[in-house]
Amino acid sequence: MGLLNPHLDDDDCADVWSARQALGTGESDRPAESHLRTCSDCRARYSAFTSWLDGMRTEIHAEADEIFTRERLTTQQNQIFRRLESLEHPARVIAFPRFARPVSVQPGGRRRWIAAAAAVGLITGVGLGQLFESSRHVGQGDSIAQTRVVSPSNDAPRQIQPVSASNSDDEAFLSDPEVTTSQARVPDSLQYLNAITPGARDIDPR
Amino acid sequence: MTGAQPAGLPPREADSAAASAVKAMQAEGRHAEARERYAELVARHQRRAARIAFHYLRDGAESDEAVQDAFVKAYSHLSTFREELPFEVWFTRILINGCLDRIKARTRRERWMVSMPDHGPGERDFAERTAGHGPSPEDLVLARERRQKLAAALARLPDRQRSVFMLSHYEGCTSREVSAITGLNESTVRVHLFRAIRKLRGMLTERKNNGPS
Repeated sequence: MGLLNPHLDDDDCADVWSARQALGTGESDRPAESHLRTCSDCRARYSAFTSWLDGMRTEIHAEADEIFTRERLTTQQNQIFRRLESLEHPARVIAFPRFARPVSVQPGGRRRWIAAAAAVGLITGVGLGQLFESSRHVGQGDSIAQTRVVSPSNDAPRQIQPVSASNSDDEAFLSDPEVTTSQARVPDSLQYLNAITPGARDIDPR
Repeated sequence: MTGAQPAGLPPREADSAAASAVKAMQAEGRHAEARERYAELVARHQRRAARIAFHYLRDGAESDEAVQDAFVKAYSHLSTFREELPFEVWFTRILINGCLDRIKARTRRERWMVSMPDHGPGERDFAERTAGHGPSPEDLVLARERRQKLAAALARLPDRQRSVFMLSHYEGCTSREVSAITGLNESTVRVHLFRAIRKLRGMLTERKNNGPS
């Protein structure tokens, strides 16, 4: 709407309509109102505009009413009143199980003792385990050595000449273990046995 | 505006009288009577409340919950209701705030969740809608399409413009009432209303001219 074109366009229609709607009256204070009174074309255009808006409202209301049927609204109303009733009777917390003692958090000292005992037990266990392992290895080594000593050799037994201890002096005894072992004194009752068994020096360590 | 009202009293006065009576009964501890009287208010505003909630939330179940919450909240806070303000305005404000809170929560939720396939706003099965002697399936599809376009256009409006348009046009509130509900100035309400209509006209007629997108 302007000086050259006094007719109403969509914006003018919207302006008039919103002014009327805001006031809740059939007429507003907008300048286009006077033109609307005189121009039938613009009245028709304004009427089409309001019809479009009314159609929109009908559509929107129909959509909502289709979803909120009478039954649904009745159910909703019942739910509202159930909730209102429950406002006056706040939920009561039932003690369950009735005679169960509440689970209390153990005091910190007691927990510390348990932790310390567990740690001591662990350390002792590991220590004893280590000790046992090492002693077992040592025992195994001895038995292997003994086994090697007593294992039969393919070599033929040699004659060992027992040497009297009186022939050796202390120096020789300490400096030459081979001589010492070879010259070890063997009692007379075991001479025969000694003769048929190999000595430690006779065994090839390989 | 909707629902029954006591004979001889205009709806606004009837609402105020009922709200004041409920408030007094609550204060005296006559809760059963208060609830009974409050039922009048619920019956009168329930359908309108459901429409408003649905316009905002576009989901039947969520609108249901929003309406229930609003009525329960209004009842439990009736002691703060001032008689100089119409009950309808006070209650609508509670309802709209609840709807806006739900929209915020939904937006937060949707950031983390994958949305399910859309079954339409009413969550009703197509077969259920077409069964019986109602409109033909074609009419239903066309109506649904029209409504979807309209809803999409409304959703594209800024929040304030949408609220003002909805309250003014759909619910028939005057600018003073819309001002009381939304907390906006009366002249601002008029400006928002004008802009909302102009935008809607532009969007919907443009869509019409361009055909379905």
